[in-house]
Amino acid sequence: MDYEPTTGTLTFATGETLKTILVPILEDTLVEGNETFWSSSPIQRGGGVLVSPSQTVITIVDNDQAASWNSKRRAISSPSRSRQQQCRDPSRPARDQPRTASVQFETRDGSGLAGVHYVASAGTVAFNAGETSRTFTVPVLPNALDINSTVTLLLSNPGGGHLGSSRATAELTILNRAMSLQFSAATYSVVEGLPPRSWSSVSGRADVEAAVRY
Amino acid sequence: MIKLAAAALSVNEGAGVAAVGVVRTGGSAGEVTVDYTTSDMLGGPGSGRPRPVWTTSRRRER
Repeated sequence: MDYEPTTGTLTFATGETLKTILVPILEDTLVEGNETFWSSSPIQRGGGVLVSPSQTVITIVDNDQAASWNSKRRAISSPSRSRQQQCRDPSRPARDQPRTASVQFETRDGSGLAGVHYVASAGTVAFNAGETSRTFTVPVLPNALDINSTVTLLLSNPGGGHLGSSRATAELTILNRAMSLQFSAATYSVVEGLPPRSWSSVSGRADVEAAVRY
Repeated sequence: MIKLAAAALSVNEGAGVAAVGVVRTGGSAGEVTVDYTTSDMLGGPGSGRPRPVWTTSRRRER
């Protein structure tokens, strides 16, 4: 229910020309858009006259906003040790009443594994009045695998707001930039008197520049 | 004559109350009583589907 149904009687005494009908508006935390209802009556009885406007359309301006990720996908590079992820409480209209809101977050394994590629993270972020963006940190672990890995980020249990269903989850991609340099074999042999030759080789990413001392 | 102060108004959901003005015009001699009520409305203004179900509305003049 968005407002309290109101019925009553107004009496204008001699000399009175203005009265006020008070309709209680009920606050909720649903993101429901603006709503309208009617007030007062066009019906008249007796010899008096009701003149226009005899109805008022009241629009209740919704002040609830959804919490959501500000991007559906995230990509970060290892070996950066951590990354702040950001969730967003969309801007509220300036006329809005200041309020606080919170939302819980957690990480879930995708192709990336907690304890191997990242540190499992969970907690609650709180939005103070006027804040539209908060961050939390997901530590990233170095690893020797030369593949990217993904982590699912989830929002849940909104307090003082509503969770946007379209962006309650996001995917974090850890771009692995690790490169290993090694000899191609444990032992080499060469025939005495032949020209110099290189037997070392490099394995790893071809798109990363690297150097090694020998 | 009795009328409402405005045909439409907006109120923030967090405002707690909507104040609707009722105006007496054409003189102020004697006592005038008017009943009022609120009703849900299907669709927005101009949607062609208003449903103002007035139940006890009436106007009396003395």
